Amino acid sequence: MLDVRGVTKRFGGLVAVSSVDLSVSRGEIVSLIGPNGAGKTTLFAIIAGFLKPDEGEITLNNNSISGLKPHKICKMGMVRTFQITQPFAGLNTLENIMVGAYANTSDQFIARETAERVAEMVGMTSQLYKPADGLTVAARKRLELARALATNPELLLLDEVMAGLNPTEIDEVVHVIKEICSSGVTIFLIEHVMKAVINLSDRTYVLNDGELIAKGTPRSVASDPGVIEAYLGHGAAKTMMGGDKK
Amino acid sequence: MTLLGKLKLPKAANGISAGRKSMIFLLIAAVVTLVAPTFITNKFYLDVLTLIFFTAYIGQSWNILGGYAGQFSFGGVMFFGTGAYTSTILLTTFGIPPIIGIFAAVAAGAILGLIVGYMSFRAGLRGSYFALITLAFAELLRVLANSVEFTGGGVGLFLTYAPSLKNLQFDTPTGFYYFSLILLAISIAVAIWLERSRFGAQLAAIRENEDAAEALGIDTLRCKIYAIMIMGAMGGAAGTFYAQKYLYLDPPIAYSIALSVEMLLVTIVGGMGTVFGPLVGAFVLHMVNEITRNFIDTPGLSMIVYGVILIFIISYLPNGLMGLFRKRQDILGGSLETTKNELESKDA
Amino acid sequence: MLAAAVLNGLMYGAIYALVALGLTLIYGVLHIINFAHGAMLMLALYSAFFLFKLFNIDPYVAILIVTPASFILGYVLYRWGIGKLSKGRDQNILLITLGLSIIIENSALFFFTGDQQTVNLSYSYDALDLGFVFLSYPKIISFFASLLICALLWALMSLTDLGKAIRAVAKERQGARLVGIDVEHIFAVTFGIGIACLGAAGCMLLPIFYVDPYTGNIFVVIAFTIVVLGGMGSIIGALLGGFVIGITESVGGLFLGESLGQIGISLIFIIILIFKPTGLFGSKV
Repeated sequence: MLDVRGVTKRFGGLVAVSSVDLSVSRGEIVSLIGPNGAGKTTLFAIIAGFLKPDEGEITLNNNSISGLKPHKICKMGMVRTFQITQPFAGLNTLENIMVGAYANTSDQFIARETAERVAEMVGMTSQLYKPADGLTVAARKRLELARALATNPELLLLDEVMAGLNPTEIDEVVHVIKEICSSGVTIFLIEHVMKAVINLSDRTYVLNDGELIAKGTPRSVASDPGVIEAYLGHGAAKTMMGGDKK
Repeated sequence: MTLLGKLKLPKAANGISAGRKSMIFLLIAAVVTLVAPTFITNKFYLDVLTLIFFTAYIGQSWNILGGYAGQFSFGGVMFFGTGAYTSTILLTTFGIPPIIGIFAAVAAGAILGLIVGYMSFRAGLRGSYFALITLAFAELLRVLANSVEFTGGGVGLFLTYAPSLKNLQFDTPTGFYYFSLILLAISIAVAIWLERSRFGAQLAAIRENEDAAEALGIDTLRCKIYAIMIMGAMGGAAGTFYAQKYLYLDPPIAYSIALSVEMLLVTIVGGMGTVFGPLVGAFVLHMVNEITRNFIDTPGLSMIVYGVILIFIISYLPNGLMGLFRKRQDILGGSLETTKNELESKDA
Repeated sequence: MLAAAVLNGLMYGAIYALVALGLTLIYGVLHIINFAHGAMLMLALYSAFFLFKLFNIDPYVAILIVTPASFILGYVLYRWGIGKLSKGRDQNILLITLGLSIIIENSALFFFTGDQQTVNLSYSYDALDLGFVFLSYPKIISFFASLLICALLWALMSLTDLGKAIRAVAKERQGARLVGIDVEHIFAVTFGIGIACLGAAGCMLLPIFYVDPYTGNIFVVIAFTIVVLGGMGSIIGALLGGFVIGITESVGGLFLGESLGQIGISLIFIIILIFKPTGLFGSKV
């Protein structure tokens, strides 16, 4: 569904992303992991149209999307969320989600209905009328998710949607993501929280210093020596080894 | 089939039942303003109201781009001046009556909006840079108008006094009163439409967070351009109104920075991004003007007070005076409140 | 004729550069666009005017009074005014400085009336004869004085501790705080310096120009154009930009006539903003 081939991005002398090839097939949950500064968010930004790649091609459902503007890519069925949440601060939750819903309808009532449904799916019904800038971090992450969902995407790019959440909240979000996937949305996510990566992903890519250093199932990636080395010091390898007992 | 494929259509017309209070208020206000001329014997007051309506109208045009879409322009007068010159030149050079000329002015304003908007937004100008470039465009037009022959150059253009409907000239204040009232009504209708439409939601999204809006499928460039075109169209008509009322036009009048400031001032004071903000602001600022003029009648004093008010509002009341009535902007214009109550009673 | 225009433009250009310097400094360090810049220049002009009219102080001597006073005014204005009221939002600052410019401009109108004022110095009409052009003494003095002040400013920024602190704050606010720099104070100082530039520029401009409440407006666009041309935050850029604009205005006036000549400046401004918003020397927008 999503094909990334040979994508490279330089900022001045720094190569942020180097010749990355990856793909996401319909119905999968694929994760992108890697140490901080590996270039994950940059890659997302390129895929979603916020940055132009210096080299490489990106296709969505066999249509080229390299260099297209984000709103066009959204219309083609792929939406991203932001690592640092970007709520519409002056609007309330419902209005925020409706903006997403308006991507597919110009009718106020349909947009509203859609937004209410999506809010229910992510568990925000009780907060519909709260102003977005008054939400907690966890709620904002959910709002970010809900908004993107409301555009009715085929492929959802989630950028560290678990960051800043406590274990209970993480479990909730994992559950929500699984539901979203089973309703037919393909998911590609950047994540640091290994527990979520293991529980959710069908496949995982590992990025380090802009390069892909491993790919495969989460388990095979976890035991990859190169990956462990990249993460050395983060204790992540240990977590991965113990985490799959759940 | 994705999550949202199982959508059921909502019951029609449910949402608009609320905001009923505001609808009634609106109706009463409309009736009052319509019959006012028969009760107001001193025609001077009609003139005052006309001016207030005019200011509110042009303030609303700024509001569309500035309040709703969040792009502050410091050169709004350019649409006014261009519209004024368009209909006036059509009249004085080609004999086309203003009743038709006003549509040309609207078109001219919209086209100017398209040009300025496309150039500025395409270049990614936002915030202060956008404000400044609009100022520069207005300046540019002023200098051009001053130097070119068909605008009458520095001498300006004179219109002949010939009251008639086709000339959009009236020999009593009542005529202009209704003219300005119609313009005001149109501007209010536009704002109300904006608050209930997808386009309005898109503008609000752009205002709040342009990148997020873009990510959610909003063509931010196109929306911003539409917004400035609406502003331009409205400004153009205002220009024709002015020309027909005061029968004289020159570059300092047509492209005066004072008008650019006034249109943003009334909106900010009244409340950006609200339907009635510009009207409230226009009333308040007019009151201020009257009071200061009674106090000391020297030019400049009322503007000083305006400046102080502007700073005060920005610092302490960023939502303007309307903000005192509403906590924050409802993009659905009040209909959210009722359904919220419904929702809460369902949970209970 | 062309050479004369160019030289003339150069003369004015130095003063324009000084005006723009203040603006670019304020933007470079505080990241705010001071819309009241033109109005404050007008204040400086009036100050110099009244010092001359009431106390017979030569404008060039008045520099020594007006400049420090402007600094203090700028410092206070930022520290207890703009800094506090705006809460840091870009849109707010723009509107607050707009409000400020309205207040200043109309206060001038209220107190001083709208009449144009000029000063006639004893040497106003003495000029240096260069053969192809007469350069009045005031123009020459203004030119060199402006250059001197620009040089002093450069020295301040590069050679003193204060200058280092200012540059640190401009580059990295949080980092500067961490090494103990009082950022709010530096902001206010920078703003003060920016206004002080206006104080000096006003004194130098008065003998070769005029003042009325609307003079500020003229210089707003000029100053902003120079700043975007030279690059926001670049001192060299402001200087070079000043000369370019000065010459453009002068030559433009020569070929296109007085009124149309002014178009050059707005046009340059628009073109730069659209095609190269970082200017010739500036960094990010």
